[in-house]
Amino acid sequence: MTVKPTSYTKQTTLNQRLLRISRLTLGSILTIAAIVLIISSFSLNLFSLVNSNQTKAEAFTENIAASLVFNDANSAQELLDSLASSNDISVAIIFNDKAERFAYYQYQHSVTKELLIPPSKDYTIGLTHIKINQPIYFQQKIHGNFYFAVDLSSLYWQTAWLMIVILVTSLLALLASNLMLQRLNTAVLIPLSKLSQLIQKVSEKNDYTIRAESSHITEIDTLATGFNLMLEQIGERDKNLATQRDQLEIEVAARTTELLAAKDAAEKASHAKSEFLATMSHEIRTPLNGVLGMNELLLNSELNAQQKIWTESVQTSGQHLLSVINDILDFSKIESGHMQLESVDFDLVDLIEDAMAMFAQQAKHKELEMATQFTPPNKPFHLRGDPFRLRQIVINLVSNAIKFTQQGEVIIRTTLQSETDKKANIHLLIEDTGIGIAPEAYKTIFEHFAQADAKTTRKFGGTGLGLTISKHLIELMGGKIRVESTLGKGTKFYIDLQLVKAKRPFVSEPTPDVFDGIRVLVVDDNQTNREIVLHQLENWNMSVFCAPNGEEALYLMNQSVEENKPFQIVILDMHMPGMDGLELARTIQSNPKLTNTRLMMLTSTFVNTEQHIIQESGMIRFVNKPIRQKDLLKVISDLLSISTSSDTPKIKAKITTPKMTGTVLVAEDNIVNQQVARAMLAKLGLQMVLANNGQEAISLVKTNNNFELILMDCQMPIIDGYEATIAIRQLATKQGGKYLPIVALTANAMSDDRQKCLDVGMDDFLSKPFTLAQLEAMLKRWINHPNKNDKNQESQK
Amino acid sequence: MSLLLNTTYAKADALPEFRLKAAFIYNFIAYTEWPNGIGSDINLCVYGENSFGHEISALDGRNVNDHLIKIQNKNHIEDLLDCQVIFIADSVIENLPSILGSLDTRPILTIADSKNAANEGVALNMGIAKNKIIFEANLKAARRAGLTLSARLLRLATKVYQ
Repeated sequence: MTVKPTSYTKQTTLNQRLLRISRLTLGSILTIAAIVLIISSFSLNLFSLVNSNQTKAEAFTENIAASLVFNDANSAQELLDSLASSNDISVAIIFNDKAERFAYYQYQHSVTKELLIPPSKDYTIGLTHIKINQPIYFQQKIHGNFYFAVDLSSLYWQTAWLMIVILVTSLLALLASNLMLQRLNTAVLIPLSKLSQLIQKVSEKNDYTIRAESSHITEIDTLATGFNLMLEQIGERDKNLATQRDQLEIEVAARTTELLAAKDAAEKASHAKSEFLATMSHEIRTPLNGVLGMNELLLNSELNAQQKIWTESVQTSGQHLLSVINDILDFSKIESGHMQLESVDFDLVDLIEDAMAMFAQQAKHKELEMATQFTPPNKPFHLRGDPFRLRQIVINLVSNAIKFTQQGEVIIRTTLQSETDKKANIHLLIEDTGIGIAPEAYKTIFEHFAQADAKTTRKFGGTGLGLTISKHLIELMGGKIRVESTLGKGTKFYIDLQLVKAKRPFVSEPTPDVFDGIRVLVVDDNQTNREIVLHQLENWNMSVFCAPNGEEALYLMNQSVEENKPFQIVILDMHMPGMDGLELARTIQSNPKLTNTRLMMLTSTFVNTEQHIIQESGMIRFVNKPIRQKDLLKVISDLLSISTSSDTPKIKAKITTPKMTGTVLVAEDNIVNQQVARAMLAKLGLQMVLANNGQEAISLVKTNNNFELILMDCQMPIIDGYEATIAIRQLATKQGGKYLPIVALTANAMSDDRQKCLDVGMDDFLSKPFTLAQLEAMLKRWINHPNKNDKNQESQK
Repeated sequence: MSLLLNTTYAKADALPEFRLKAAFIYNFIAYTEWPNGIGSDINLCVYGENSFGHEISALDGRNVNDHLIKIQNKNHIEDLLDCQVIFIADSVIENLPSILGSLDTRPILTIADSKNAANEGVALNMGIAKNKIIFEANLKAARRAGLTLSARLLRLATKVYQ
């Protein structure tokens, strides 16, 4: 890039610039004049010197001529000596007609030889001397020559003096011109600089009322007038702009007020909707809690067969109503953008296995095989996200799968597709062998209130909101869901999720060495189950064989014994066509060659196998289906560590509830729910003290120290559950004593309610309506809880 | 011309004395101014014995200050009145008072080469000193004759009578 050099030269003021120009002009004029003057003066002087000396010489020669013609050297010498008066003549010589020296004169003692030689012409001009040669005439005849040299030093001196005079004069002239110019410049520049100061002032202060003075100089006056005119225009424009701006401000303020009002209204509406949802949730759940609670109690009472059927159908309808309410609430939250996801650490393997376990009974009912597969196997997937919502998605899809599958299997395959240091890409596949979905319905099934067709809804029940909610939740998590299906063959739901890894690593527990090379036979009629178990066992370096039925299994076992490589473990499926698990076990036990083989039965939780059958079968372990990876590892470890001879079958005993003791304070304002709580607690062997509101609860805690736990309803008159909890916790810090667990009972299903409960100092959360089993699990967790004492100590600090 | 130059430089011994004296006479004429109306010729008259021989006749016909020199030999006083220059030879010097008397104030330059002649009224008188030709001038006599002797000439005279 080239830039004009001038634009970067030093900036000067106009004054400096003018002074410089004038100095340059004057200086050059003076210099030229001085040079011309000096040269012309020098040459004029030189020529006049030559002329005057020639004239002098002419006059002189006439005198000399007489001396020469009378041959009087003395008189000639006298004449020459008279030249001494003019000291610029260095040498003078008279030559006769034979060019012989007739008389001689020299001013200085020594002269150069060159000076003694007369010139060939009339005169010559040298650096130091002028030489003049004048012929001596007598009666028109030349009788000799008069030669002399004139010293030029005086001329030089004269010139030098002239130069000094010119120099001094020039300096004086420059000085004078400078002074005059400065005065002149001031006259022009002061108005200019005033004008420029004014411009600066205007631009700094934005004051457009300032006006420039008029000037005597036409150009400056024009400038000032123009400037004033411009200022006036700018000022006017400013005024106009200010007016417009003011108007605009007023308008904007008005519009903003309107917008704020509209926003407030919208927020209020939104808030009202949320409030409405919360209220509706509460209002519906509270009576439902009464209905279901009471009905559950009724179910456990003495009823005849017909009554039992009716009561059970009340229970089923109630549960269904509850799930419909939950779906509607979730959907509303998603719709209004109120759905917020948690971010906590969890193990995906546990989550999926837990979810599947929930359906074990249902699956058994429909005789469906259920399986979970993890790739890679035997490894926890510690992730960070919202496990509650993820579980909801899994439960939804699995419950759909079970609902629409009449026979066959429901399988969840979980694959760790890829992972980075911080993230993991998880692929979930939920597949069933159900009725399937027509391709044209792939999209609509995720839409609101749409099932594969309207008839389905009637046949299978459900709101049709489950898939919509699941899809929204997956999308909120940044994932995707899609469906593949063949009518009549089954359906596959694919879910892709990218989740942040939890801090705990994805490291599988080290496999015991004893597993290496252990020979295992897996007997199951379901191929998927066989494959999944095979996959897991091989991952532990075991040597695994499979058999689809009892006959095949026996054949393989016998053969292996013959080959002297008997199976150490046989894993049996209880339910198999033809020879079932128990029969196969008995057969194995009856064969002496095979008695050293340890057996493991995969069974449903809800099969109440008679004790004697189990003992007969010689089973060592029963494991519930769907089998969990951890359970499988633990059971196989046990099998390998215990000897067969000292075998005492470890049968999972039927759950017998150990009776709990103590008094529970129930703070609940709804009379029906009070009764439900009282009945349920009585069934669990617990005493109950009732508080109708938070205030009563506080005063009861003050007077009575013997409560094991408080069940605190959140919405109560006078003082609500939250405030009551805060007051009770403050009381505890003052009084000390044993730690009192508080469990919230709330009809609000919102997850922020849950957080609110924990924040005010409650220990857990039970959503209404709750079943007896849920209440029991909750109470067991907090009454005689081993951590109770620790927590007590903490609260005392 | 060469003769003249030679005479101005040469010593009296080396050159014939009269040759030098003739040259001097020519020079005297050159530095003398006559009043107007003398005509174009200057008659150079030798009165008395002509010791110059042919040396003086060399001046005959020569030009000086736009005048033509004519040599004439005179033996009688009365003949001298036509002359503008008279060389009074040593042989007739005794008659000097009568000569000068006859000439009176006429514009005639009188030249001699006899001792004390200038003092006695001859305008220019030559002599010899240190082997050199010298001359004396009588300015009074010249003025009486209405002649002007050049200052340059007078400057060279050994003595000027006034």
